[in-house]
Amino acid sequence: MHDPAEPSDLLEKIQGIPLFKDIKGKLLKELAQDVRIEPFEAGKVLLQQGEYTSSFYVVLQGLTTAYRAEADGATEIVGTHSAGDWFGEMPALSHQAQFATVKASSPCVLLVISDHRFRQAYQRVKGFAKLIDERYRERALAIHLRSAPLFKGASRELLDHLSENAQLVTFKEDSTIATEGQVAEAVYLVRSGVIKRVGVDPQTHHETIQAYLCENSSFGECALSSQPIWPATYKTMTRVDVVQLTRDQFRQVYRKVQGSELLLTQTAEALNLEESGAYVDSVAPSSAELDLMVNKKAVVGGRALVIDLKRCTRCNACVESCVAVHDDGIARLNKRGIRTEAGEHMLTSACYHCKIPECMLSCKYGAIRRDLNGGIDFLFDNCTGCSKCEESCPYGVISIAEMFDPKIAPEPTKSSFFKELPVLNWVFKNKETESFDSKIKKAIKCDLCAGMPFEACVYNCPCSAISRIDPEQFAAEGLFDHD
Amino acid sequence: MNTSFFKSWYLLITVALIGIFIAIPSSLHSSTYTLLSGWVSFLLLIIVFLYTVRKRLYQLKLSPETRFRVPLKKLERAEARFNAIRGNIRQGNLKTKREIEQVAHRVLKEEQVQRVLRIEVVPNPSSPKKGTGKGTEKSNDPFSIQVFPTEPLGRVSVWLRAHLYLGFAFGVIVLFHGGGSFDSITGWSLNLLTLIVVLTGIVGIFLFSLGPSWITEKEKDLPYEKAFVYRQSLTEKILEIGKGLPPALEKLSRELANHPKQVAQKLPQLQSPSIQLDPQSQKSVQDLLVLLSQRERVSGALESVWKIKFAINFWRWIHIPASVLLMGLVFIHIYSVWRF
Repeated sequence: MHDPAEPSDLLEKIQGIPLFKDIKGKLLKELAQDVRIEPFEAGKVLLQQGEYTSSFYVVLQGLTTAYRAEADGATEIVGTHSAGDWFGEMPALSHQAQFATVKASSPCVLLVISDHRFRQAYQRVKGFAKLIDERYRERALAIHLRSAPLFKGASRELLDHLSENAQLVTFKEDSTIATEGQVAEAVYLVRSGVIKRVGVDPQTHHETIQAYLCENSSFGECALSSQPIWPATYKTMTRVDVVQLTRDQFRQVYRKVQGSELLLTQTAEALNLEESGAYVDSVAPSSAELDLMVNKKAVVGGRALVIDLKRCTRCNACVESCVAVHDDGIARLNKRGIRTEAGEHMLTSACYHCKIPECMLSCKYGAIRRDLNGGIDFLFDNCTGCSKCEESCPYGVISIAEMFDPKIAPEPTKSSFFKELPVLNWVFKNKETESFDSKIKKAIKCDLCAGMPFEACVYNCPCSAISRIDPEQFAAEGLFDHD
Repeated sequence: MNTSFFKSWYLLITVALIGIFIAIPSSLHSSTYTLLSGWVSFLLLIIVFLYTVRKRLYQLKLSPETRFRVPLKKLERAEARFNAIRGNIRQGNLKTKREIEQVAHRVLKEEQVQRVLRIEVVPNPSSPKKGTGKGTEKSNDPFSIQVFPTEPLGRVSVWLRAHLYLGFAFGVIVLFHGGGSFDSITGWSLNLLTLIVVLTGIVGIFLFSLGPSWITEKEKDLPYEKAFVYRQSLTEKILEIGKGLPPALEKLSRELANHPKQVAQKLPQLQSPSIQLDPQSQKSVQDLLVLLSQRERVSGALESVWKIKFAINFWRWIHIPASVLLMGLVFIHIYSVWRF
């Protein structure tokens, strides 16, 4: 990495890039303070397809190439980026996996911008957003459309025509995109943000959330079917960016690409059938446990940490081992959580690594990201301890802890065998002076013991009472014996 | 009941070991037999003791495996390379399980994450799970790479089973070793201690199997962790209401809040106060009485769970000191046999 450039140099550099021409004043200064310049050798893979990244990159010097491997094994070059070009806008905008692999074709220098600064600029500066959207339409929209089930079998020609016609629309938080029972006029593909699909029970008139839709989800395929009626209401939960394709736009494309009408209509019909089946499945609980998890939204989570209370002797080994593997000595696990109806299992307060992580959506400082395995990861340096994530987490698994700031004061010396002996422990603890000034607040939660060769709580439970499991699998098969 | 304690490979090992010592012909029941059974039981005792060491080292943050930690950057690079291998499998560039394993192991080695990750190459299930919703893609890859933590020392639950069964085997083989001799101080004390340790251990297994169900049953109405919070909140409410009462009753309510054991004794003073109360204070006293009875109920629930927790752990008070004593005596016994 280069030595960090002076902020004034960076400001000049940024001002010289056409992409940033509309960003001015305080926002530009903040941006300049929060970017870094990194050199890369030729041949270096900068981003891997499928990787969860959160930075936005602008090429300052050199050339990079983006290529994408399709499910059938074919690889295609998506584009090249020379000085002034950029990539990584979709992951930075919506934390989704990288579309394509980007490689340095020659030695290059990149300007790296954190996701929260990028989002700030995108949401506040229209000119900047316009340039990003135009380039997205040119290069990535056709590929993005292909990720929607409706366009799975579509030809490149069809996708290109659809990309030309598509509208990029933004909805504010709490907007209604479509209302149940009304005529469906468009198909939508979510670029960023979260939408809830809400159904109304015809008897009780109660609203039920049937699904959450986030980036790469599509809806409104019914607009192309023989019965173009919205089966549910779609409401935004955050600011949402979508790709909108109206029926009129489809009709224009049908005229240009032969056979496309039949293909898309048939796929839409099939998806409608499948979709109605899927939602019927999801509301029919296969067990009391699954029912509870659906009610508590745990099913939208990835993998849950479950304690079998009929095995747990309440020895606390899980919490003690959690403390033992974290240098700050703070447990990420506490044994409070959702109990099942029969009281036999408890979903503990450890991170579910949600599919729709509300903590990540609420973090304004880019301190929460998805790692390569899809787990939710906290970036220590970016966290300001503002507690927004703690408030937004639906499961209450995030807590704000006071800890020693390694930049201000060194951590207290690590424990040794002698210090842990009952009497000496008391002597040593009394000798340690703790200065409150050297403590900072940080958000903490289960990190799956990242970097360790085990998950401490599961690994150290003597009674096989704690397991990390898929909620659906748990409902079907129960807990597993590991021995 | 936690039946998982009774399902273990160590049960088979124990049966086999005991079987071997029973099956050894009586012609061999000589000093060789004594020596062999002595060393085998000593080895078993060491393994049994290692369980405790493993647990304790972990609590003291001294377990060697906690030093295996690798930076996240390396893990992510390895995962990115696994994704590339997955792509190669899809494209048909990697066809056999052996080929895939070789490439994946190279990644583990090159990224220096082999101490924390292990891989398994498994044939892919042919169809996706039912009811996974729209747009589910069927995987056509012949193999998939699954990544697991290495868990170098093995799970504590496995060690516990080794502790239970090999400990039992130790007890039986020690009896064979000494021939049930109670005629010397060593024989008497070793046999007795072994018996105590094994019997308390067996009691422990059953209590650990059954105890959690008892606690869960008791916790049905009020979970343990919630009861703590309720009790605390009720105490705070009692103190708050007490603040609005005349000084004598305020003092009394503070005592009742802070010393729950005095409630039975001092409650009559609150039920029929010696001073005249205004209607507001009378209402506050009524509220206090309700809160105190609620806290009694919560405390009662907590106490009943606590009693079970104590009951399922009491055997340790005999088991652990007896085990330490036994270990010491075993060393003295071995030293004296070797020395004299």
